[in-house]
Formats: sequence, C-alpha cells, structure tokens
Amino acid sequence: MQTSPTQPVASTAYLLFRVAAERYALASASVREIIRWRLPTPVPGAPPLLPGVINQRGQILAIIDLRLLLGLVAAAPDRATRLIWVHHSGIDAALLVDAVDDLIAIEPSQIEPPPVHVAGPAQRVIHALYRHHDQPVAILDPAALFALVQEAA
Amino acid sequence: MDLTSFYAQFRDETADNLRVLNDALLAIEGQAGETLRRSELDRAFRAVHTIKGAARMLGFDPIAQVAHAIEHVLGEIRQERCTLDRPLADLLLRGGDLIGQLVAEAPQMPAPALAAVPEIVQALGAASPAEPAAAPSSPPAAAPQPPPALAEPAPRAARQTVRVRVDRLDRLFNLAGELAVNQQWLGEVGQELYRLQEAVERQQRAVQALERELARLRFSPTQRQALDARLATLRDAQAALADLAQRQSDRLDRHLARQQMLVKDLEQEVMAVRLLPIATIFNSLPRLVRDLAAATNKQATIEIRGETTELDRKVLEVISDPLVHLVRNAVDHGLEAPDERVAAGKPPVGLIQISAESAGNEVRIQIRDDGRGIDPERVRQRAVELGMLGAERARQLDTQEALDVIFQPGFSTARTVTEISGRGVGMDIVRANLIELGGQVRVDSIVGQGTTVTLTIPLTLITSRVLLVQAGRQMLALPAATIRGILWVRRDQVQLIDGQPTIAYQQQTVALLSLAELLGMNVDAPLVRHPRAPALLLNARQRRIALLVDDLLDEREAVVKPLGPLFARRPALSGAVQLGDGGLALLINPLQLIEGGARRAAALPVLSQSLRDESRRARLLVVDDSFTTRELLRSILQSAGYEVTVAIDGADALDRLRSTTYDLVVSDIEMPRVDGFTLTTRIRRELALSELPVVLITSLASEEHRRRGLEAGAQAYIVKSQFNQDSLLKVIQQLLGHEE
Repeated sequence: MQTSPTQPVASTAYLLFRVAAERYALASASVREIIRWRLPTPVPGAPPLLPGVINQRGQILAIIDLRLLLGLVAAAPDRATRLIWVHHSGIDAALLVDAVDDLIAIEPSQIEPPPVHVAGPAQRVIHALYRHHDQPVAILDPAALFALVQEAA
Repeated sequence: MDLTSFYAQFRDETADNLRVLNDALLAIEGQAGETLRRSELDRAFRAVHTIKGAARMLGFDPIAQVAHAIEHVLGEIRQERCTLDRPLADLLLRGGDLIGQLVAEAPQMPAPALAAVPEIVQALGAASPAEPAAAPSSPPAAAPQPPPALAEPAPRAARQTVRVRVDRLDRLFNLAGELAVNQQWLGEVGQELYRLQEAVERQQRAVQALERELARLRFSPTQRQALDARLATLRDAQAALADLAQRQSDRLDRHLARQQMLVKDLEQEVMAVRLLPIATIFNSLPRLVRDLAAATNKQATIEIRGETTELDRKVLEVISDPLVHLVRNAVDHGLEAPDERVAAGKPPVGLIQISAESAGNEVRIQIRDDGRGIDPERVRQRAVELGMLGAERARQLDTQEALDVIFQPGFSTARTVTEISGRGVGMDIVRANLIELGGQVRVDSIVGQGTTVTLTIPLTLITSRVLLVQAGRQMLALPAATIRGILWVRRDQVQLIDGQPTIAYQQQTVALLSLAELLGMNVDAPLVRHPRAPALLLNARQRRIALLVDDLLDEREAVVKPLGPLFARRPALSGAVQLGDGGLALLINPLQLIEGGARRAAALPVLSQSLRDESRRARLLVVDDSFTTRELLRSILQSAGYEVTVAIDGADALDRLRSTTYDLVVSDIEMPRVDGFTLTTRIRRELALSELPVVLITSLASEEHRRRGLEAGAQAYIVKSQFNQDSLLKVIQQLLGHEE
C-alpha cells in the first residue's frame, strides 16, 4: 500500500504490527523475516519475557514477548500471532507480536517525536511516532529494545 | 575510496610476515650451517621488504620507517658488513614487535608505539654503520627509495589460498546443517510414499474382490457391459496409480541416498575448512621461551612436536593465552637456575617440550618441563595458610587432588605462591578457558623431575559428543566430556550429610544435586518421583558431584549452535543442539553450572540409611566401546552388588586382565582394535584363563555369530534386542555359581 501517490526517494519502509490494542512499527531494514508462531524450547531460569528459543533455518532465535516487555499482560497465541525475526546490532531475535498488518513507506517528514506522557519501559524503546489513518503508531528502536531485554535477562 | 578491506588485509598479511621474520631470526641464531643461515636471512629480508612496501602504499610511514631500518640491517648482515650477535638479534626482534603493535589496530596506531619509533629506528641505524643513523627529530620521509637490488617480492601467487571471513564459514556450516535437517524431512516424505503404495495395493485387492462379487451376481447383458466398461477403467486407473506411486517412491529413494552422501561430504568439508594447524600458535613459543629464559637468567631449549595437528580456529583462539601462560610458568617457575640444575645432577640447559596430538574427537596438548616440579606438601600447607582448606581436609587430599588445588581461584592469584609452589598466577583462568571449551586440564608433577600439564580439548566446537537427558519436563543435552560416569541411585542409598544428600560410591562420598533444580526449574527432585534415578558423575576434580536427572535418553554427535548475546549472562547455557526433527535441546555445561555459584543443594527427603553388605563382592570387567552402554551396564551391575571395572575395547580389557584378577567378563562384540570374538579367544589362549566366564552382548543377532562366539569360548551370548536386566543378572549369577 502506498501512503502518497508519488513514491518519494527519501521514504523508508516500515513493518506495521499490533501488540494488544496498540500499533507499532519497525524499520524494515532490521526485519529479516516474519514467522508463524510455534512452540519454543523453554530456557530454564530465563525471565517470562524470554519464553524460549526456536530454530529458524539453522539460526537460533530467542523469542522476546513484546507484551511483557512493554508491561502489558501476556496473551495466549492464536492464528494471527507472529514472530518477527529482527537482526540489529549483531543480535538476532524474534519479537512475539499479536499480528502483523502491513509494510508501509513513511517519509521522514511524517515522523513526530515520541509522546512525552509515555512512562515505563515503553518510553525507552519508542523512538518516534507516526500517524497512520489518524491512529498513532509507535516506531520502535531495536537497539534500545535489545538493551532492555539484556538488562532483564 | 574505501580502504577498510585493504587495512584488514594489510593487518593479516603483516602478521604473517612478522611471524616469518621472527622464525627466520630465531633460526639464524641457532643455525651453524652457512647455506641454511643464508636462506633464512633471505626469508627474513623478503618478509620485511613486503611489509615496507605495503606500509608505504597505504601511507603508514612509521611502519615503513621501522621496516626499512630492519631491512637495512638485514642487508648489511647479508653483505657480511656486520654480524648478527645476540644484542642485534634482540634489537631486530624488538623492531618486529613494534611493527606488530603499530599494525594491530591499523589504520589507528597507538601513541606509545608511535613514540617508540624514533628510538628503534635510531638504534637499528646505529647497529649498521654503513648508513648514518636517522635523526629521531627528522625521520626519513616516505619518499620513494630504490628497493635493494637483492630484494624480491614474496612469492604470493604460488600459494593457492583465499582468505575467507569466519562468519561466512559459520553461515556455510549452518546451511550444511540445515540441508541435513531437510534431508531428514525428505526421508519422512519417502515414508509417506510407502504408505501411499500400501494404500494403493489395498485398494487394488478391494477392487478385485468387488469384481469377483459382481461376477457372481446376475445382470442383464446391457448392465453387464456397462459394468465391465467401468471396471476396465477402474483397473487401468489403478494400474497407472500403482505404477506412479512405485516409480516416485523409487526415485525419491535413489535421490535421498545420493543426497545423503553429498550432505555428509559437504558437512565434513565445511568443518575441515575451519581447522587450522596448531603451528599458528606454537610458532610464537620459541621466541617466548628464549626471551623468558634471558629475562630470568636461565637456559632453556624448546622442543615442539605435532605442530601440524589441526584444531577449530575458535578453539585455537581460546587456548592461545592459556598456552602462553603455561609455557611462561614452565620457564619462570618450573625450570631452575643453571647452577642449581647442575648441583641436582641435571644438564644446565632446561628442556621445555610441547606436543600436540589428536586422539579421536579430542586433541591433547602437553607442556612438559624438566624443572623442580611441584611439591604437593607445600601446596597443602599453602592452601591451609590461605584459609582455603582446613588442616584436616588438606591432609586427606591425595597427591593428584593436592596438585589440583593450584587451579583454585584464590590459590593461584596469591602473589607469594610463585616462590612457594613453583607455579604462577592465573591457573584458574587456564582452567576456566578450558571448561568453556568443554575441555579439561590436568597437572602431573614429580618433585625434582619436572611438571607436565595436559590440556584435553574437543577437536571442533561445531559438533560435540552430547548426552541427552530428561530433566523435569525438558530434554537437555550435556557435553559427554564433562561427565565421568553414570550411577543409578536408589532412594534408600541416599544419606544426608549436613543436610546435603549424598551417596557412597567407590568408597567416596558423592554429593547429589538435582539438575532441574540447579537450573531453577520448578519440579520435584527425580528421587521424589522415581524410586531409582540416574545421576551423572561430573568430571570436576575438586568436588565429587553427581547430578540427578529423570532419565537418560541418548548419546550422540550433535551440531551445537550458540544462543546469542541475549543469554550472555548465563554461561552455563553453552548453546542449543539441533535434533533430527528440527527441534532443539539446550546444551548445559554442568561444570559452569556448579562453578556459577548456583550450588544450592537439591532438597531430597530424608530416606532410610542402609549400607549394602560389602563382603566378598564379585569383580566384573565390562568391555564396550560405547560410553552409554558401558555406563548402563556398569550401573546395572553395580546396583546388583558387583564390583565393576570398565574397559573401552578388547585391547584395553586384555591390559586390565593382565594386571588384575576378575571373576567374569561382560563384553560387546563390535569394537575397535580388538573385538569381542578375538578378546575371548585371546583370554583363552594368551592369558590361559580357560575358566574365566565371558558373556558376549551384541547387536549381531545371527546364528552364525552366536556359533562363532561360543566357538571362541564365550559361556553366554546375549543379543541386545532381547536384552533385559534380569536375564543378564541371572546369567551372571549362574556363571558365578551363586544362583539364588
């Protein structure tokens, strides 16, 4: 889908996805693949936000439950549940999200600074905001996200 | 223009050339023959000339200056205008070291190294009178300088090699592993096709039956005609289907067999690519020994064997520092001063021997010195002084255990230890590095004769021999190298000592911990749920620990993958093992788990304390080349009250039989070196033990083999597929003549 009739060169592709009722986006440059949910191998002693590891074509990926990372309640996986294989700053991991919606192009001018009222872990990982059909979409910073997970692990 | 890749290449190439320079200089020093001297000199000259040229091209003037100065001196030596004496050799080596420091982080050059350039250049200049020393304030600019007439570029075209980035190799191996897993999946498709064929056959039989039924019924001619036409179509379709299913199944089988071989070959090739000769780290040792001996006023020669032994490059990286450390210790603390050696009746020059050899899946590296050795008594004293051991406990340690104390963190970092025990700092680091690799370190020493340190290292980190166990609800893998044996523990054998569950094993007390609990799993200890559970006896020398698990599942060679940085803070998780179905089992390093301070005792309920009657136990020898079978048999027989010794094959068994008396032998048939048949024959003929009962256990179920076994002189022949504990125990009881 296109957000503007003439595709500007400066726009960047973002993957749009949902966690609980909220919408998030990740720069597609750091997204390797979208994987259907499957039961991971649990890692004993790991915190709940790391429910386990999966083997995706030979790469071991730690699953990061974004709900728990963002301070929301966990949910049982369903047909829409997806794993997003993120590769950033030398780390490969799979983000557990409730649904993947779309791949969209966003121009830099459409990006706003993050809202000031957000608190808690979300504040650290949201690095910008974008309005998609008048709905706010929080753009995540993968580096900050991994840093947060590493602190918890 | 992006020069990054050139810098990387320059760093690698210069490191190679510096190694050549080093080797050549050391060789010249020890070389009497003029021809050899000459060729080494040429080698050194070419190496340093190449460095100079490359450094100029990339604009690293300070490096070019030092290289030029070295080259100049070498030229003078070659022209016999000056001689390579010891101080000059030192100076040249220092020059090489300086280049090494300058290059290490190129294009950045560390300030201290830069500051040292003028001094070295001047010293080198002063050493060769033919060229006036360059003033430190105005070093020669990078102006083009005519290359010396004799210089020739290093012959690089002749080496048919390519540098490949390691991550690329890793990816390649990953893909090969994936192919193998896919292959297994294809195999399942093959199975499906077999089932399809069976279904088609059943359908065919049903149609035939239907035809026969219809033939018995009465129809009008038109009806009969229509039925026949339909049946004919059905038969045709049926035949086509059967044919197709058959052909597809055959094709897939052939394809699978071919691909299987290709995948295996590919895996082995990729693995081999990651192997490097150990010479890459051994090469620096002669220089190290030379410098250290000089610095400590000792005399030493070094002997190196097995430098072509190959190891995974990651393994080489990790053992490089420990190796240097051990060699340093050997010279610094192991070897005595020359006069002391002479007084002790030894030659004044100490000998450091370094060897590497591969044995199966492992590589053994030994660092041996003929120095003063380590006195276990002093180690005991020291450990008590440091408060690491009680005086009582220290006295109980046998020699080997006392020597092992030097690997304790608190012990080896104590400064004064060097004067007392003869061993230096950082032995705990050596051990930590080896444990990280799934390897081991052992020290043997004889006072007055010397010390030998043996490192045992897995050949490659990619695959390793693992034991699959069930812990709680999860399947886990443990490196086989970390486990010394398996004991089966019955509830009533457990004794609490200071609240810690223990078991008596070979006259020793072994602490029992639950693996699941150590890992923080929320499950009951195995012995709460089962009356009898296996425990893995760890290869940890300091403490006798066995980890209770729920079940033993398998032993296999497995591909180990890293878990990645998100789990970096949990060193006991050393990776994940890929299972045939694409699933994963976590690889746990139990030694790390124990070291990691997670040493909470697994709470076992207090159980009755009963000790088995130890009087007159029959002594059995179990011979099997499979670790799992061996340990399984050992535990079954031990639980039945026998004293059990194990041998890894027939040859090992014969050795043991020569030195000790056994009451009965239980042996596998297919084994390397000496198999079960030969073992039995040789027991009868060579050892003349005509009465010793031999029980053969085997997967060879044929009548022919049974006959051969009995002909060789075995009393009983048990086939693995029919194997059950009770029948084995019964046979043994009968043969030993105490049938109940």
